[in-house]
Amino acid sequence: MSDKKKIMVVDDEEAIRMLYEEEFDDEGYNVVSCSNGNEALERFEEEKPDIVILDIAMPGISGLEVLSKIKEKSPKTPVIMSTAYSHYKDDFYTYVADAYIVKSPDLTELKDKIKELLG
Amino acid sequence: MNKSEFSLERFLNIINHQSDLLSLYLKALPFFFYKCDIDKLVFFKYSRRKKCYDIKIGLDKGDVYRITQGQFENCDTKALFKSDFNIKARSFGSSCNDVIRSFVSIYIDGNVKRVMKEDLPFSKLKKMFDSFGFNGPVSLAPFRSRREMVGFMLLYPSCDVKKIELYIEAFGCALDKLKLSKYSENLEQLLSDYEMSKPNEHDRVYQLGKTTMVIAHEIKNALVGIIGLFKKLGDYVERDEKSEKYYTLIDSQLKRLYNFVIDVNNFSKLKDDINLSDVNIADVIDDSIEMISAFYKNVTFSVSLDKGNYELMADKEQLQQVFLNLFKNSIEANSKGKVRIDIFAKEEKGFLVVKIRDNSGGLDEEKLKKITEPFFTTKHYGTGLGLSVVYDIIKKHNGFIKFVNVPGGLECIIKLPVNLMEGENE
Repeated sequence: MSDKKKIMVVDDEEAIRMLYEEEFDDEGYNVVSCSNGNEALERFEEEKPDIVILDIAMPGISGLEVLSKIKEKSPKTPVIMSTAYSHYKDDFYTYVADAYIVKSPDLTELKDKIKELLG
Repeated sequence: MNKSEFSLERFLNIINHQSDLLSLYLKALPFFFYKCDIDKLVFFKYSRRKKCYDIKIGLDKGDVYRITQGQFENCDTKALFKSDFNIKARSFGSSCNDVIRSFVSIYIDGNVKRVMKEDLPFSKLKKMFDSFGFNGPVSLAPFRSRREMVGFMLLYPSCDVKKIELYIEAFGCALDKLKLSKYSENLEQLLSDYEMSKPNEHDRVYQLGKTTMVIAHEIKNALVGIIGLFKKLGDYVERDEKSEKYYTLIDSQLKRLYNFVIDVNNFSKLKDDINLSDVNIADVIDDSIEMISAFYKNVTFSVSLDKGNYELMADKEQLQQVFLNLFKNSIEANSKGKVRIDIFAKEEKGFLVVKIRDNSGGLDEEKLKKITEPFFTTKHYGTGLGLSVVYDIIKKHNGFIKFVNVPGGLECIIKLPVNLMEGENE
């Protein structure tokens, strides 16, 4: 086992998964990507990621549901909610997430948040 | 219960000539049941003394029925909740999201229980929600008056918060008006004519905004990946002169598209935050002139300020956006080439009045009426969103804006209140 930290990326958009895979690989992380909520929940237990980046609006079970299930399973694993626009911030259930970022081609904010949360 | 049983008239009759703001707020709550399909609502009010959000009332559909039947006094809904549940707030006027994040201290059964986020896992939060009878997603809607947060509501089941906010805003405005006229003999009239009609008018725009938002969301989502990967691709591909040219062109067009989508989203009202600070409007005007002059060369500005105080509570960035959009509009509407923009400002009875006059030739009355409508444009490449955004921002600051024809051009008159009024007298 390497001591690389593992990031789980959950997003239905293939281009975004690819972008995150590339970028976080460059940053020295292991990246596991899932294209929907069910896949994420299945693989969460076996992969045991150090941090999860979760899209909210996805077909099938939504990011918010995935969030609450992950937090029930493993409350200590940080979860970053990520979506195109900030209006989901009003949903009370996002409160359990550790951070909330608005998607942007500039990944600086996201990278900083990950560093901060992984300590 | 049938929604049609709800009568505005009856509701307004219940609001007698009270000056107690809180009871007015409480009496506004039934509206939300009818405007959004919710079963339960818990209202928290900010208490300055205790520096926390106190639970004030919990309602379900049955209670609402009683209220609209005029039995409000007998409807002690707070007693329905066994626990004394309040949320400590870091500061007054925090945005909705801050309130969620500042779920730091919770009072249960009168005892302060300090909880950090880790101590309040989902299951505990759920337990609390269960005591309210919430069994699924819950929405939180901030309750603002004059942009200050006076409380918030938890709504169950989860609903369209932005829509509710429109009504809250309207109601807040009505309350402010009420405060202005201490002897509120015609409160019913005021509420029904002036404010309660507004949300309906807004509904249409809101729907449009929502549709726009969905489209913008999809495009932006795709663009984030495309732009990000395109940047990466640039690192891999060896570039000659020709491909460099293509690369630059695609890059700039992608950015343009991206910015456009952000613009559309800004308009679609879903970005609603406002960061208030002490702002000197004279500085904002100067900054905006400097910024716009960097892009447009052929413009002469003249600024004349009456003596006075130009400080006000406002969102600096948004005010800058107002002036930039207005200047841009004056410049782009001018076909003659030599653009002149005159700005006058003065203080007048608690308001800052700013007039921006151009030499664009003006607009005919029909077009003038439509000027702040979304997607209305007289320009070839205009999105028709610029002045809509201006209108929105001024409205968010509880100001007034109007456009009038003056000899040779168009004049925009903006009135902004100097002091944001107190949300509540406690």
